[in-house]
This record gives sequence, structure tokens and C-alpha cells, in this order.
Amino acid sequence: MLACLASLPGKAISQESTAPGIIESFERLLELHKDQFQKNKSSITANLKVVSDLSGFTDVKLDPQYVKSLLMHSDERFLKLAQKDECRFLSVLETNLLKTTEGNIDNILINYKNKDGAIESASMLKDDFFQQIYKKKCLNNSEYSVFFTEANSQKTIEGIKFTIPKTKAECNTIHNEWLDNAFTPYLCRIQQVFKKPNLKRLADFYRERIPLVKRIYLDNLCNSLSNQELFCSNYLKDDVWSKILNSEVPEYKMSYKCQQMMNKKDKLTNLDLRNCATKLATEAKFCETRGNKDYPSNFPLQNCDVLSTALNKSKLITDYHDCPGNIDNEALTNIHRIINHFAPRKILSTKETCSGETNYSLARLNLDIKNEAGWPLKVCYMNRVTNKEACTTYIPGSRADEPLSEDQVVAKILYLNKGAPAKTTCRIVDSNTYNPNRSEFKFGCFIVFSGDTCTTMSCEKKVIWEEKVQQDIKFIGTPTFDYFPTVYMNERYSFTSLINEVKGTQQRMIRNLTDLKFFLDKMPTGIIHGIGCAEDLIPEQFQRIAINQCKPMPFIVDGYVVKDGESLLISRLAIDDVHTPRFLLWPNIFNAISAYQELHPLNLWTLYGIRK
Amino acid sequence: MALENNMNMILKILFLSLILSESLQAKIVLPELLAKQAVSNIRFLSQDGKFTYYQKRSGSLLYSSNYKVVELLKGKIGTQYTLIGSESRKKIVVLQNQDFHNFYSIRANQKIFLLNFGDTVLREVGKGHTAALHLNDNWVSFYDNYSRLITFESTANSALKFTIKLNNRINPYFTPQVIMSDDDTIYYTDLSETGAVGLLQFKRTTGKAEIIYKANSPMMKAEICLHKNSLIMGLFGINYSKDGTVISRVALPLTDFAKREAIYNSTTNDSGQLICDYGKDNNITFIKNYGTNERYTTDLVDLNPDTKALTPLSEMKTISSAINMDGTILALDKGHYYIVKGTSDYKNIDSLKSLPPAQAAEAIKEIDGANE
Repeated sequence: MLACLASLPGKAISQESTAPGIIESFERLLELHKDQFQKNKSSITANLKVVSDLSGFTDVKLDPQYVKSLLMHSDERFLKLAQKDECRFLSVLETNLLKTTEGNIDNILINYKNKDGAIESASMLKDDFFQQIYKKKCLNNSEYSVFFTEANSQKTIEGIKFTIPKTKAECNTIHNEWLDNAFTPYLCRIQQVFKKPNLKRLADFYRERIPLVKRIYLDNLCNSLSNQELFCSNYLKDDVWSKILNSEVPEYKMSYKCQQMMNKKDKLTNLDLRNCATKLATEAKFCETRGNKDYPSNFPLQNCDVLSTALNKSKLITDYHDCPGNIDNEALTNIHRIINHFAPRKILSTKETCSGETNYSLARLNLDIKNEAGWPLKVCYMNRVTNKEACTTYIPGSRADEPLSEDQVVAKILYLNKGAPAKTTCRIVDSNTYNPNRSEFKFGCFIVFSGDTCTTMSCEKKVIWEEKVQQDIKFIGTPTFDYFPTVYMNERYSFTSLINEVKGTQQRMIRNLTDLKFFLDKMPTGIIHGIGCAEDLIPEQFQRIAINQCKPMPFIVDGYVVKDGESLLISRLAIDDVHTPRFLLWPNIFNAISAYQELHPLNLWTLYGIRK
Repeated sequence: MALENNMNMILKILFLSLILSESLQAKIVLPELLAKQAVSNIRFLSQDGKFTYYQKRSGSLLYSSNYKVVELLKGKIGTQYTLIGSESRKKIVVLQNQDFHNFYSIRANQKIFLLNFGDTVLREVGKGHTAALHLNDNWVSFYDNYSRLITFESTANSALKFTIKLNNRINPYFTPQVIMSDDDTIYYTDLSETGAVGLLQFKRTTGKAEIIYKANSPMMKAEICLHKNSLIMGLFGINYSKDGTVISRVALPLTDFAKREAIYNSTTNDSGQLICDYGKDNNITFIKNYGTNERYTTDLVDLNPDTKALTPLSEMKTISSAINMDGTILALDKGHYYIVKGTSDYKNIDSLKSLPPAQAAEAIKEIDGANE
């Protein structure tokens, strides 16, 4: 094919050089070629004819030495793309995917027959060359070029189907189709923009207009044009980690875990995620002990293979990292997870804010319908005016948009009762961080809590203002409430009723495994939640030593996989890390619910499907 | 021809005997625990059936014996009680959880009381959970998750007490296994910085704890118990690990834990829940996993530590709990308790198990109705 573009010199490189062979390095070959290229270019430019119009010439060809340079310096994957036919070669050249010894191409060296029939050489500006050559041949290329201008690229790409293969045969077909596709050079030109730091503005432009899933697809395609196996390996892997990298599965299923595993405070880069995914895919035991360092939860965790299988089918939306170990009432964690599945909100996940966010979910559910009794946490203080103790509702943690957040409530108390300035703000810090000897802690208000694992009930908080502990300010209350109703009279204020009322969910009882699987299959966002005795859910961890002993444990089932005829239910106990689901078997769930039902005041079967 | 007939006859007899021998190996059918009280109300049933501690949904803990009913404690509606005895049968520990149905917490401390065996007078000893009686019921221990302290208190003299602080910082829900082998020596489990379970020996005289065993992997749990004059340790792989199960014993007083003898080995992760204090035979009872590490199939077995022989005790496949309630081994399956070991005959005293199921249910309904 390339012969039609250029008549390659009769002599092979080895014949022209001092016979470099397999012993001499490829670099030596390139050096020789570079010299040759420069000599050729010099000779052409010495007789330079500035050509801007090819209309009077015939037999226009690329200069053979120039083509040889393209072959030697261009990436194999783009050469693979270029070899289809002459038009494809030109479009690959046009889209800057090919290189000469000088790198990027600004000028094209050509040979042609002049009006007298003599062969001449000339250098043309690249843009001029393509403008002219597309008038003579490959007319469609000039139209393709228009499709991919900055103004049109978004619309063009929206119309292209990026099919994710499911089988090897399908993948091979898809890869071949991409190689045949006239748009591929133009798409790979965009992919290359993201690789070049000096094209940041353009990269940002495309980033805003091309969805992540397509950008990742393009990256995989353009990196593996000459390697079908490589292209397919990224799609045919069953592990969830590869699917996350391909944007087939949400990134949050891996990113929070990886952030902890890699001990990073900031959002992970794409490279970090790739490195992490490789680790998770190749070292199953790595996940058993890592991934929840700053977010205390049950331990040990599950191995990476179990997680991969479970997360592949898991439906629960978990774009946050909560910390069950910092929450006293396990029901709060379950509720937080359910609410944020049906009404996800932006959650700031840090070790300082994770428990506050969990509390906030239930607090808002109650306070939004003016059910103050449903949220019992209060800050109490001595009211200067009445000289009596007064208490006001608060929600643990710091939230700029929440007047009832702990920091704002305490600041307001200081302002109204202690003469603090109106703009006083309180900072929530752990006792390990708070150091009165440091200047940053000399002035202002601090709410200091224990540096160890700290829950609402287990650690005392001190309010320190202008270096003095405010003895009269106390935090009281225990978040006790009905998850499922325990008396008919208060049924409306149980969590299961509140979420239906506030978030518009619907629930129905799940009695058997067939029903559970049916619900998960038929309800796209539907999940199962329940309360059962921990001793039956995971008897390997929790042991019953007395008759009718039970540790009620809220849990969520959000999917299942069938393995060797057995249904493995993808579950998260409220004490489990939210990014570490485990498999439970139906007999464990049935035993757990049955045992709790025996003790429940209404003899309630506490397993429900919930959907919106 | 005659020879052929004889051969046919022999084959038939062999076939029949094979069928007979198979049918003779009957499936183990365990009697369900049924009593005058609804079983869900029972918190402790003495092995001779002479007294029962039970609770009401109104929040009371009651004692009943020979038609005498005494209220021991009164709590909020829905209060849950847990009663723990021991082989010595001198004391009973009572745990009271007043927020059982509206504050689901593995770690929340409960009020802990002490009771003379079969008596009705309570003494509050502290707050915590996972209480146990030790050394002929002369000591009671309980654990506080938040402070990570195991508290020991003499049942005879409340002033006599000491605590052991756990190292564990990795699993907020870890509960130690605790045994006291003599007045000076306590064995307990703890987690290392990496989450691997360890067995420690604490000496009251020195106030120091020494690690005597540390698991190779965090994917194992350890259970310990006293059996005759030996310390038994069971190591069970968890969460799909391939560690399997090892149960070993070592004579007390301990000289060298490394010289312990393995009395049971399995490549499968068993559930465990060792019961070493049944007392009426030499066996150790535990829940064995007959399935795989991914799919547990669980039943109770007896392990003879001398012969290392295993005897199946149930064939239910999904047993999740094994409990020694005053010398009666109970298994829990699908919300029902079954009597696995124990000679007590509740038929004439506190059981309705001799009645056919339909009649039993009716009778229980009547009794429950009268009691609630």
C-alpha cells in the first residue's frame, strides 16, 4: 500500500550504512537514518520550491526518504492504523499520529512530475498539503476532518457507539471494526491531546465535552490498536477493578478503599487508581487487612476476590466512606446507607466528619418533619438570663450549611451567654491535635474530643473558649429510636415509616429466598434491609452463650450471585466497612431474623425490600 | 438350576441386609425444647427443671419455682435479660439491656448483676457485657468495649477486683475470650497491631501479661476454654481463609505452650463455639462445618480429646449456636432450640415435649396467655 505513496529507495538501510547488523543497536540505525534524512531534507530545501498548489502537477508522491522516516519513528500502533489504504495513511498523517526523525510534522516533503514531465521535489506546509491532496484523492477525509473540529467534535462523538465487548469473539470483531473505522485516527488525535502537557487547554476543552467512560475507552483503544489481546484483556477481565477503570462500574467502589490502602489524603489520580487496581486484582489477601484505616469498622475485612465478585453485583450507592466504629447505635449506620442510596447527597468523607455525616442523615429525617423527639442529642448550658439550665438540639460534626451542627450551636451559645463575638466559630479537634501551647489554639473556640476511637457515648467532649474549659456546657442524649416499630402507637415514628414519608420509598416484607431474589431482580434500585441476631448472621464471630441471647444487627442485602447452584447474598452488616460487602447464605439470614422475631415485642418479621 | 436359585437367594438376602443396615443408621432427630413458658421468654432453665428464670415483654425478670413466682428486676418495656451460669452451679450472672429494641449496639454496656444459683436476690456488680463466671463461681468477669477493660470481681467480696486492659485498636467489635485457671492466672485473647489474634497469660501477682501464642494471620479467631485440667485452644479460619481448624490442649499449670497437643485438625474452617464444661462426659462439643469455607454446613459434634474421635450429634446442617444451659446442651436452628445433650426430663416438670406438636402449641398458647 505504501508503495503507492512513495517509491522506497532500492538500497536497504544496511546496504547504505556500514553494515549494521543485529549486534549493532537500533539507535545506531536511527542515527544513520537521521543523517540521511537531514541530507535529503537539505538537498530538497536547497532547491526549494515553495509549493502551495498541486493542481498543475501529476504523480504527486511523498518523498521516499520522508516515508522511511515516518516508518522508523512512528508508533507501531498508529502505523497499524495507517496501513489499511492510502486514504487512511493520509488521515493518520494529518492527525499528527505519525512522526519523522524531527518529531512532529510541520512540512511534508513530496515528489511530483512538473508540466515538463520532470520529477521534482518540494516541501509543503502540512495544512496546504492536505488541503490540496484531498482535492485530488480521498475526498471523504476532508469531511471527516470537519466532523472533528473543536466545534463539531462533541456532537460527532455523541453519535459514535463505543461498544464494550462481552466475549472474546465479539471483542476481536470490535477491534477490527475500529481499525477499519475512518474516524479512528481523528479519535486517537483527541486521545493524544490528553497525553501532552502543552495542550492542557485543549485537553480541558475535551474533558468537559467527552464523558469519562468514552475517554477511558478511547485511551484503551488508541493504546492497543496494534495489540488486539491488550485491547480485549481490559474488557474481558471479570474483576470489578478492571471494570471500574473502564468506567463500567462506579469508581467509588474502589477509590475510597484505595485512598486508605495508599494512605493518601487527596483524591487519587488515574495512575494511582490503575496501580491500586493492579494490586487488588493480583493480590487477594491485600484487601483482608487494608482499606478502612481511618474509618473504624469490623475486622478483618474480606479478600479482594470476594470483594470483586460482590462489588460487581452490588447495587448500593456508596459514594462516601462512613465509620461504623465511631457510631454507638448500629441502626444509624444502616439508616445512613439506606437514605444515601435513595437520596444521595454530597458527603465529605474524612475521619473527622464521617460520624457527623452518619448522624446527620437520621437527624435530618426527623427534623425535616418536625419530629424533634426523634433526635434526642442536646447541648445543655447555663442560661445567664433565666439562671437555669437550657438545652438545644444539635447534630454532631461540623457543617457550614447546617445551623444545628455542633460547631454552630456551641458558637451561638458562647455568643448569647458568654459574650463571645457574633462571628465566633468553633473548631472540632481531637485531644491528640489540641495543644494549648501552640498559637493556633490560644484564641477562639474548640470542641475537643478523645483521640481514641470516639463515639457519641464513649468519649466526653470539652468546649474550650479562650483557653478556658466551659464546664457548664454538656452534651447529652442517646440516639434511641425504633428502626422497625416496636409498639403500634408509635409506628409512624419508626425509621421504616419515616423514610417512606420523607423520601417516598415503598417497602414490603421478604419471606423467602425466592422472594428476595425476585425483588432484587425486578426492582432496579431495590435493596433488602433487616435486623437479625449477629450470632446467626456471622456465627464464626459472634457466639451465643445463653438461651435467647441476641445481638440485634441491622444489615443490607443489595445483590446476589449464584455459584455452584447456591445463592450468595451480597450483604453489609451495619458494623462492616461500607466498601467491604460479605456473602451471607439464606439460612444464616433466616436463622437471624427468626431468632430476633422470637424476641420482638410485636413478633415482627424484620426483613423488608425497600424501593423508590 | 438349583445353584442359580441359591445364588439369587443369596443376592436377595445381601440386598435386603444392605437396605436394612442403611435404614438402621437412622437420622439424628433432636427433640425441640418446649416448656411451660413460651421458650422465647425463658432465660435460664435448671437442669432438674425445678426453677425457671424468665422475662416478660413488660420489662420484668421473674423467677418461678413450684408455683411460686417472684419478680427479680423491673426495666423498661422491651428490656432484654441474658442469664449465664456455669458448671459449678453456685452463681448466675444477669445482664440487663433496657434499650434492646431501640439502641442496637454490639458494644453498649449493660447492667450486670449477680445472683446465687436458684435464688432471687440480686447484687449489681458493674457495667459491661460478655460476662462469665470463673473458678468455682468465685469470680465474675465482664468486658467494656469502650475502655477495653476486662474487669474481674470476687463474687464473695466486691472489694476484691482487678482489671486487664486489651491492646486491640484494630477491631472495635472484638470481644476477648477469658478464662481463669487459678487465683493468680488468667488466659485471654487479644488482637495485635496487625489484627492477628493472640493468647496471653496474665498473672495477678505481677500484674503483667505475657503473650504465649500469636496467630500467623489476622484471618483466624481463637477460642479458649478449660477442660478438666487442661487449657483448650481452638483456632478457626474466618472470612474464606484457607487456615482451617486446629483444636489443641495443654496441661495446666502451663509450662510450655509450644508443647500443646493437637486433638483435632481440619482443612475446613469450622464454626467452633467450644463447649468444654458439659461435665457429664469427657467430650468437647463444638459446631463443625461439613461444607466448604464458602458455604458452611454446620452440625454439632462431640470430640473426645483422648481418642480424638468425633461423634456427630445433629444432622440439621444449619445450626448456628450451641449453648450449655446448666448441663443441657442446646442447639439453635431457625429460631427453635433443640436438646442435644442432657438427661433432664422436662416432660413431667417444665416441658410439654411429650405432647404432639399441635397440642403442645395450643397448650403453650394457653399458658402464655395466662402469663402475659
